[in-house]
Amino acid sequence: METSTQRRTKPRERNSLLKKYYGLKDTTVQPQPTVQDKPFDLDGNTFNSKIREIDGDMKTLVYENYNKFISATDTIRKMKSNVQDMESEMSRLNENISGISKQSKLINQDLGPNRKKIQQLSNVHNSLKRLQFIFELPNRLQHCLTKKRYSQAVKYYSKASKLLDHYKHMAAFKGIERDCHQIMDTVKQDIWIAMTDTNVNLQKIAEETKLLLLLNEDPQKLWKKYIEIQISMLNRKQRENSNPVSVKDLILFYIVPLEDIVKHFENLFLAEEQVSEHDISSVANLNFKEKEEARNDLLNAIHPHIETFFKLAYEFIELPKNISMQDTTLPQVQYLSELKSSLLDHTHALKSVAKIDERMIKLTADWEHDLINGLFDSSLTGLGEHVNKFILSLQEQKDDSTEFDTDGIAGFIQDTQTWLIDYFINSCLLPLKECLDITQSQTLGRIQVGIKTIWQKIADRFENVYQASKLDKSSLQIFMLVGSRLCYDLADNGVFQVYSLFSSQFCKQPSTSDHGTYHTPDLDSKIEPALIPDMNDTIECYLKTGQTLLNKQMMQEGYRLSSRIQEAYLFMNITSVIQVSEIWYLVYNRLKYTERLVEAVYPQSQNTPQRTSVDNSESEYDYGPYSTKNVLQSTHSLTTVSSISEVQPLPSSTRFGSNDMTLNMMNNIDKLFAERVDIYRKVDPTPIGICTGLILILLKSFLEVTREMKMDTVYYQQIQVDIEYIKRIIWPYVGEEKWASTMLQEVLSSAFNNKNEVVLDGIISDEELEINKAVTSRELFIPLLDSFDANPTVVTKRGYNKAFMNACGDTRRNDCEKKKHLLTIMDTYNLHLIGMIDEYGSESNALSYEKKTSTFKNENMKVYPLISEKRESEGKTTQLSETLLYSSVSTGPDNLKQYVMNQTYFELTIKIDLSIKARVRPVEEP
Amino acid sequence: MTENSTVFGLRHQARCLAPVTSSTEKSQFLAGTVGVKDNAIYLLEYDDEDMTIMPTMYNHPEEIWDIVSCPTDENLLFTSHSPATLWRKPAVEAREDSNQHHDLTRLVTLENEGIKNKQIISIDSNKIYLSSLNDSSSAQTSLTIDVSCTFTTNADSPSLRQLQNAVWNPHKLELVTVGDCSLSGWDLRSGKNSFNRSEAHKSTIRAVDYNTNKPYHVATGGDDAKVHIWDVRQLKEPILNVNDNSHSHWIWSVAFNSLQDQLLLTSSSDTLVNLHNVVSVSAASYLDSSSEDEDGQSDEYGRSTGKPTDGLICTYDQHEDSVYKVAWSPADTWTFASISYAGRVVISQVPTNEKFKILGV
Repeated sequence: METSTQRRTKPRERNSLLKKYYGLKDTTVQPQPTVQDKPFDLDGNTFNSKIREIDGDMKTLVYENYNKFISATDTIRKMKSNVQDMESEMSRLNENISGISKQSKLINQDLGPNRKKIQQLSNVHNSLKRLQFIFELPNRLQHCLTKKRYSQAVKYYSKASKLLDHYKHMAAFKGIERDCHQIMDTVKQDIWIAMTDTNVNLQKIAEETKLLLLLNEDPQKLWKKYIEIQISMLNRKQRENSNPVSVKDLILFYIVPLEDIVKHFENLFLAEEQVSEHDISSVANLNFKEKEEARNDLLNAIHPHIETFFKLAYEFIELPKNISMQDTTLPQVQYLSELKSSLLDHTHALKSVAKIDERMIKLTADWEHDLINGLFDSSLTGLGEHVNKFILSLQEQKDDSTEFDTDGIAGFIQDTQTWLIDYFINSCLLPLKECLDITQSQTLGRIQVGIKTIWQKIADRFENVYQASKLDKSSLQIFMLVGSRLCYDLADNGVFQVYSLFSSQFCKQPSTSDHGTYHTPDLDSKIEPALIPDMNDTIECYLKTGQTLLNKQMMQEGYRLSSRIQEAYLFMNITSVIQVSEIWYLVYNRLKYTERLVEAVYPQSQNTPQRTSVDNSESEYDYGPYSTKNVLQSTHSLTTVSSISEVQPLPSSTRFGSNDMTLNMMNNIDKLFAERVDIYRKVDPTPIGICTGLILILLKSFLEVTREMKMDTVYYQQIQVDIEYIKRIIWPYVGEEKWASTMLQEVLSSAFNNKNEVVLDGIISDEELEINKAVTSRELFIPLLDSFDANPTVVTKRGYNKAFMNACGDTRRNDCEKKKHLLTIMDTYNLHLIGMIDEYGSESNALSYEKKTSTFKNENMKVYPLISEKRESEGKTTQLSETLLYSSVSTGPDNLKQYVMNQTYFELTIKIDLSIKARVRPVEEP
Repeated sequence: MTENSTVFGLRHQARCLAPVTSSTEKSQFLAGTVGVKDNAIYLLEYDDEDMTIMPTMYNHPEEIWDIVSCPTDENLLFTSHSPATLWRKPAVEAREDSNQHHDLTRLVTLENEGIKNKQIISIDSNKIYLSSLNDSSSAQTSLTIDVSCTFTTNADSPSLRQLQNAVWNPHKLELVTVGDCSLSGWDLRSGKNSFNRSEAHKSTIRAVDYNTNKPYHVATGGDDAKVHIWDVRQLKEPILNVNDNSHSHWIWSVAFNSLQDQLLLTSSSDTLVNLHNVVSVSAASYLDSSSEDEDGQSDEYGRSTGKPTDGLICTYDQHEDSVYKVAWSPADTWTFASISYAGRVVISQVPTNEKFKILGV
């Protein structure tokens, strides 16, 4: 242990001794135990290398110091020899210098007395010279006067005047002074006269004014006179050139002279101190107040001229009424930049005195504002043209008000949007970029405001379209929908497109120069944060406008139809139930029409992924009845409808209806759990959404009007029949919606409450069954009419939306013990019967059947929507055979579905309504 | 605001409700049912201290479509069924048996409805009838006005071309009617149209009321779920569009408070009753502070809550069916009743803090 410590400290001591010897500071006197990590490992690498390291250090140290010592010795030797040389040099220098000083002393002593004399003499000479000048002054002045060299005269006089002033108590000088004064008075007068001479130029007048100033004229009088003369001259000049043809002329005749006037004036009267090198005291020494006064006088005098100038300038750059920058850039842009640069370059005096630059900036600002707004406003005109063309085309095909040009509408929407965006970008924003200085934040701000304003204006146009245009009803309806769609589209991407272009082209300084072309902005390109609030506002505004238009349109339709419904029921006058009330056919047609119309206006929504941001998941099920979701939905609806048919007081359960308190209670309980539905509400921009909204309005009106009716049996039956029909026509839209069934149920119950005694029968008679017995084929076969003498119209391949055969009917009857079910396949597009199938899966062609069977003509058939019936006795839902068909159509193999959907159908004009055999006959009480 | 409301259920469905105008001591309302049978008139007396309703029932032979009480004699009332009849109700002393049905004495049978002094106004789908009451047993129709000329001729109009409602001008012999999209006034001396505004609403107008405190001011409510207040001298634009989106279906009834005319009630088939503040077009707007203190309820604990402003004060949603009628109590400024189709009568009060605001306490 001890040895190891010794060993450890030994090199350290040595080291420090060495360091001491060489005069280095010993910093590591304290041993640091942490350095040695393995103290006992004597043979270890660390220990050995340590020793070697220290050894090396020592050697280096010795070598370095030895080297230094050698060189130091050399240096000292050199120094020694040099100094010896220098000493001899120095002593020689000393001698020389003392010699020089001796010499100079001698010379000085010799010249001393003479110098003073010379100085005196030269002084005397100067005085004499001056005296001579003064004595000669009158003559000189006279001479100048005769030669009309006034400025020379003034120069002389001003040189002498002080002196004369000083010595005027001496008689000799007095005489001279008097003479000079006289002459100078004449000079002054002459100058005054010269000044008022109209033919001299500006420069001269300025000089003359200066002279007068030097002659101590009253500055106020002088500046007034100066202004007066100059302005009158200016007027004259401008009169000669009252119509400048170019900006150059304008500047030349209006600004340059003005600038000169002001410049001279400034030099003469307003300058802070004498700055001129050649003229001594050329400027009137005015105090601050006087200066202010002078400035005001000047400003007042030149103000009208500046006004004129700006008026003229404005005329130059005035924009045409309808700005279009499609092809040419405006000459005004050129003018403006010329004006700007020449004004800023040449008018220092005007700038400082009359603040003309501020005026110019304001003018530019106004002009830019006009330009921006004008440009954007021109889009309104263009839009108006587009719209008018569209309206014209709408009215051209006015022969049938229920028809419209789907492609035309879609085209118009597409065209208008593209056009508008294109116009904004290529005809407004890009030209603006060309002609405005977009590096200025004010200009940018103005453009931004301009964009927002124009969006606002367009939105207002759309929103008030119904007031402005004198469209007939159906065109207006189409147009409002189209407008709504346009708004939605703009909100969707148009606004964003414009703003992102604006952001990328204007706000960020583009590295590459780009002319006229723009690239479709990347979605992920960041929009300038300052623009985002604007953009969001605009988008919101457009969404709102779109919604408003849509709602307005729907409400209008709703008001009209519900008024018709009210009229139909309030003025109803029937003695027996023959068919569904006319009004519901109308409603149905309008619904179909609306659906088709909205479909035409909002068609592409099903395959635009970006729309999902607006109406999220709903869009999926709103479109395409074939989507699986929809099919499932329909399956749900089956049960819902069936549950209603059990609850509602159907005719067959009349007996139970005698206790209307129970009915009331059930109704109320039902209502208690029903969700509150706002009748007038915002609707989705989809065919389903709008039709649903419409149906809601109509059903509520129906409910209200049945409450106002005076009910009797026939009316009640009528309402029942109507409700059956309604259920079917609304089913494709509202599906399983609870409110619809609740509402209809309420109608029935309120109708039921109002009638006294009703016996109704919904059971189908034997004859009806007889028809349905005929079975022709066991396979699922959607029959084509082979030949039919009613001259059928062939409708080829309807879109599935239009000929969706989902509504399968269930014709029931309680025959003997056995229940028979008959299924009808309906074309929901026009509710025509296409085929029937019975519970054994057999199917018949209703239409061809109708040809054979006379019983059909007896209007005896009743069709219900397809429902799966729940049998109370069994307590479970029995899937009846129609489900087979249903599922085969909706969920069956694709080729089958395809086959059914792609079938070519005959649309038949049949006198009898096959879809609903509305004859519901009372059954005799047992 | 449930704590301010009392609910009473009639036994049948009902559409009509009327305040007993001559009863200024107690809040009394008449309600008539439209049931299949056993229709009755309910006289509902409201006790605002313990918030209870005392009903008295009177048999009525048919559905009652409208009802009105005589402004001078509380025992006289008109009902509109087919035809309209003036009834005298018997004085009922003992109220303990409230389920007992009383019978009314039939006085006069008229074709239609409406009372002022001894004159009766009645309307049907397109005519106004002014009749006067002789003795108290017969009535004579002195004036018939056909109002159908104010309706649009467009068969496809968004409105029902029928006379919907009418109200007396309390300031002169004039009747204000609504129907179709039109608001019209009729001078009852000459039988001439005194003003007319077509397309006052986007759809049928069903409700109208006259501001008794401010001549020429009329409120209308329509199928477009909007309520407008008009100055009949300047009919170009309504002077106020009352709170645009407070209803979502037809407005069936509007009622100005006869004392505090900044309070406007509306009821709608969206099952809601709304209480609006329309102070900017009320008499209070130039009275600055209303001096009426009808209730004597100048409570010390009322804090000044600032000047009242236009807007929806309160929505009463105790109904579950269309609310067809709403009426202020003639006895208490702050009490009103509403009736819905389900036969539910709700008697409610203006919220206390609003009351204090109006009274300026």
